[in-house]
Amino acid sequence: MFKKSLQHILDDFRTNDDWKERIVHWHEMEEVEAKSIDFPSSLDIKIQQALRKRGIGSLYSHQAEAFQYTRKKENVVAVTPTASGKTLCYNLPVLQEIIENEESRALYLFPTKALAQDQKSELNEIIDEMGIDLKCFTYDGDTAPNIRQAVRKAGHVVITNPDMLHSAILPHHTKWVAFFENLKYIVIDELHTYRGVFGSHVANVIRRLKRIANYYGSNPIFICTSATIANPKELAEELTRSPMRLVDQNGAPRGKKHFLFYNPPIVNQALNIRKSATVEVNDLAKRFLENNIQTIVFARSRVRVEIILSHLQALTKKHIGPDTIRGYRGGYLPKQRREIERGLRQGEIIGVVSTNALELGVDIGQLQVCIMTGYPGSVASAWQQAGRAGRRQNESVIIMVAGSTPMDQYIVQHPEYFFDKSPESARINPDNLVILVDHLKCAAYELPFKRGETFDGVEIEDILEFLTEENVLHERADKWYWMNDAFPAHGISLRSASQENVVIIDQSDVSKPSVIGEMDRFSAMTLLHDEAIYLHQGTQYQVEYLDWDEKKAFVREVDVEYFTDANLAVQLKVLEEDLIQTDKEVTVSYGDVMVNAKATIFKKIRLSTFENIGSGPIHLPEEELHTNAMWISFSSDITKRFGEGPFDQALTGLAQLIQQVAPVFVMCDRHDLHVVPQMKAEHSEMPTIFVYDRYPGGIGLAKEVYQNLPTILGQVDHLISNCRCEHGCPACVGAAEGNIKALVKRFIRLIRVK
Amino acid sequence: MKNKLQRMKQHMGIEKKLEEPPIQRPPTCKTKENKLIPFENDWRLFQTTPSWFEDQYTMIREQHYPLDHQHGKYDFSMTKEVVKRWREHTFSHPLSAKDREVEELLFFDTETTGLSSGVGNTIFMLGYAQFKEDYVGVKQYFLPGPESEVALYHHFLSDVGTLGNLVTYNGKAFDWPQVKTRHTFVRDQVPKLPKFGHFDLLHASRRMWKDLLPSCKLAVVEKEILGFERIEDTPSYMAPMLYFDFLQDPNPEYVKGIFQHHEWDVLSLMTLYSHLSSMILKWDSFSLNNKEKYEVARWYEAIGEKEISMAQYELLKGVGSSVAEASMFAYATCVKKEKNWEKALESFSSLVGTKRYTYLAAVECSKIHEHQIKDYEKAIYYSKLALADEEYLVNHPKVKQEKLLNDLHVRINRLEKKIS
Repeated sequence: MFKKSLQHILDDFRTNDDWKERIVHWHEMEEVEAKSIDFPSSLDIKIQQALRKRGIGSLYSHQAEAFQYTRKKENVVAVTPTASGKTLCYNLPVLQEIIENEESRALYLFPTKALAQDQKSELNEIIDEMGIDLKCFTYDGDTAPNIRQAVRKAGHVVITNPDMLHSAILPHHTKWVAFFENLKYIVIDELHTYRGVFGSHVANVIRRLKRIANYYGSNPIFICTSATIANPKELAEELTRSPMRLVDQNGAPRGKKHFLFYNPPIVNQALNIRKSATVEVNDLAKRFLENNIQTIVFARSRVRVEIILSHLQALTKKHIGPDTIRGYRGGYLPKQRREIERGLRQGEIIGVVSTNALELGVDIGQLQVCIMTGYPGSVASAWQQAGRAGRRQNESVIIMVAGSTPMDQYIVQHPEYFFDKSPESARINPDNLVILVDHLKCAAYELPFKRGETFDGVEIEDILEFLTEENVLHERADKWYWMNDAFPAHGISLRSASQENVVIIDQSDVSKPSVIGEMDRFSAMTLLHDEAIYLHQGTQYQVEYLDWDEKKAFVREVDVEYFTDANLAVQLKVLEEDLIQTDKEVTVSYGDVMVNAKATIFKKIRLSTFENIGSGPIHLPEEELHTNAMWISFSSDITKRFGEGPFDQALTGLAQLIQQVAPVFVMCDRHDLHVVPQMKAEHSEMPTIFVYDRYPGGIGLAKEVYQNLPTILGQVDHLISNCRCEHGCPACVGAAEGNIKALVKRFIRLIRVK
Repeated sequence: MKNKLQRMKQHMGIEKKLEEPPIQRPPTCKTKENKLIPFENDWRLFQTTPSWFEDQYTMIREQHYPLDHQHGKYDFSMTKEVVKRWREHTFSHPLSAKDREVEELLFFDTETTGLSSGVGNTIFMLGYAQFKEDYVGVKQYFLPGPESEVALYHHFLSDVGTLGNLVTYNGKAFDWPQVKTRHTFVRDQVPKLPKFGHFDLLHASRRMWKDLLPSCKLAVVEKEILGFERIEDTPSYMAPMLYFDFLQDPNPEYVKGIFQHHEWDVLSLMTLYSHLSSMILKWDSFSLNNKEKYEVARWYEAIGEKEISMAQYELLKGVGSSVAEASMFAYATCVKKEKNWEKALESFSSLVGTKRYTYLAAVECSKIHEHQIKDYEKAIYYSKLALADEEYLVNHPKVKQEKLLNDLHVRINRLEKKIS
């Protein structure tokens, strides 16, 4: 059989009736020509020659712009889509600076180690071409102890990640004196990844970095690059607390792209149930993979990745061999990831199934096709994933396969919403009290605070006094000193809400148990409980024992026909009501709450049919969380008018919709924001819907929902009105007896009319 | 704000504390002029006095011991004696004080507010024991509060000058780097750190007693080797807590135990240095057990002093005990390197048939017979003996086992070809 080319498959899509019906929108993006500018005369001739040798004869307009601004000592944030040559935006100013003064130093921050490695090789190639003695090192957990000193003393460019900066560089700054004294540039790549809890932590790490740099007498310039988000300038300014110059006119060329919206066929008209997106994705991916067309498949959850992976490996085993299709997600060990990245670049791996872990700029070379299992949750994220296809200027295809969620169905039926909408904003809240206090401890450890000193502008005397009362700091002669035997950075993780991860240990081979991954504590409650089926690289493991005290999950390889799905029971107490808007029948509030969560039971669900085939209890202790929440309370009048039963259904239905829409609106992961309906809230005994931040102390998500509730309810209304079901379906408010859809619609109208 | 901080406390890694006595604030304003030092009299009774630098002071405690003061097995004059002996010793050694006067040795230790090595870990006490004309002086510098580091380092560095050699216990990895770290903060106001020589006795103790002692902590070595036992010692892990208490309430009672602990540390370093030096210098007359003798020889070998290490192995070598056999094997390896095939063969072959060395020795014998003597029959004979040492082979992981077996088979095949 002959292999088909990408063009052949596209022709199929265009002409075959089945396909035509399912591909509900075909968006073509034409090629874009490059906007080039000659090398600026101030650019050192050695750099110009090195670039020419690499086949670069001029700069894209945005690269030249970034260079000019930094020469004028302005901080820059450049918006750079995938494959637009963003690295020159910062490498040019940094190389120029070091050529002019070889004592100068630069710090590069990448969100992951993998990106740091890529960057080092790329920079070293240019340096080699230039033939100058410029040393560029990575400094991370993999750096051998015996070369660390050389890095600290002699590295002109040190490439690291925020975690390393937080726990290994800043707490040992006295070993980096020469580096900090001469620090001229701080480069923050992948700026858009620094949002939510992680971003809030990193903003504080940067406050500490600036404080230490200033202590050694330097005042570095920031250069940030970001994927497309709505507020790059604002985010960069919040993250660095420095004024920024925005460079957002991209001058790079782009190949032709086909962006297809694909809606699976309906299998049950009354309930408006469509064929599963997963199944459709399997079919589509197979079509490309069988023809040796490199394809990336994105799925939203780890479990989904593993399910698709095992299907694809089975489907294509005969044709291309299972090892040519791999999974890629958080929880794999770094070595495994590197191997997969290399395989992709070299073309040995032709298919990869990934979570958003590959949205980042990890260099995996050129893929021709990108398939998304469902809407990734944000416009920005969707474009990031789409950028994986056709990074270099050739024709490529992106297919978004809609899931059954209301958001997916809305998007797929309203392509203009997606293509015309500006991407979301990235939010951080560096002043989250828990995060701020954590980093003040680290900062005090690094350098005592003087009375009157601020934390990069934030008033902190109250907190310093609090920490003094708690015997963490000691005040003497108008300074606060660290006086505790702990090393504060070790207890503070930038990445996850809970500070301890659960380690996953495979004991299939009794003589050689091995660690195969790790997971944060909250996820572990529902994914690694006793008897849970845990999927890793397409292999099923059953959890034999979860040692909660030691944070270890012992698993064994199994081969079963089901997966598990656990329930989390949640209790909420209002501690303080900070803001309130009262209406006759509806009250909207914002404040502090305490959440108690407990995993209760799990269900076993058959892989092929998704039917429930059994269940069991989960015995794990309750987890407690203090956080911010917004809540909507309803008067008893409404309850009466609806009747108790229907009202309960309407409340649950609305909660489900808010859970769908709110994370999209505030641009966070679905798991960062929880929505819980309660018929009788503990604090008021009134029916209430709570929306709370999943991180202790909150990171401003609930507050943003509070401030934008009318808009969000507008979206919810729009969504439910556009759903094609009659009485409510799993895709919108959930399916049950009676016409819930009408109930919820009535309900929303009631809240909105104010 | 306060309420919120209290509520969030459990998320901040701050432990709930027990009821504590009300805090007494120390007088905050002290100047040289009015010299107001809390509890100054109590300090004085504890032989401790303030030393001022600008508007800060450090507390310094000085103690003198006569040279015949016994600390553990020896008195302090022993240290003087070993330094003299080092001068006459012909071989080089990491502990050698050949080019040093005994007065240059600083038996040095620190006490810190934590165990980690980060910048926020403060040294609140450092000090040393040192030989003077006719006595041993112990000098301890104590930080009365975190604001006084300039005074502490000023006095310490002015006193020790630029010549010196540190003798520490784990000071290479911990104490001295930590001094460097804290010094960085005050480097513009105090003298530069001198480039001292350094004997780290933890390293030496590990070499000697790793297999003999349950741990090589200084307290264990003191008790088991030096015959010194502390009575009512303040354990190291208590030191930070006691110091924090002192900062809240500057009564010297809190920290007297730490002074005592630190003093014992530096004095024991002297006894330990004497003991270790004697082991090396008086190898045959000092009461060493054979294992210790073997370790001394191994240390010499590791630093390239082949002549003496070989001589020592020769004296220790034999068959029957593990040390004797290990020495025999080491000796045989040495003479083999010198291409003294006859002696090497004799030594290796004496080990064939022992429990521990049959395989290794037989392989060596086989090699010598094959390549030097060209007696292929004998070479095969020894290879087969090695092959028969199953006990040695099964103690290796499977992959290694297969490689060892394969090597032997290759050798035997080759030899058989040579014969035919």
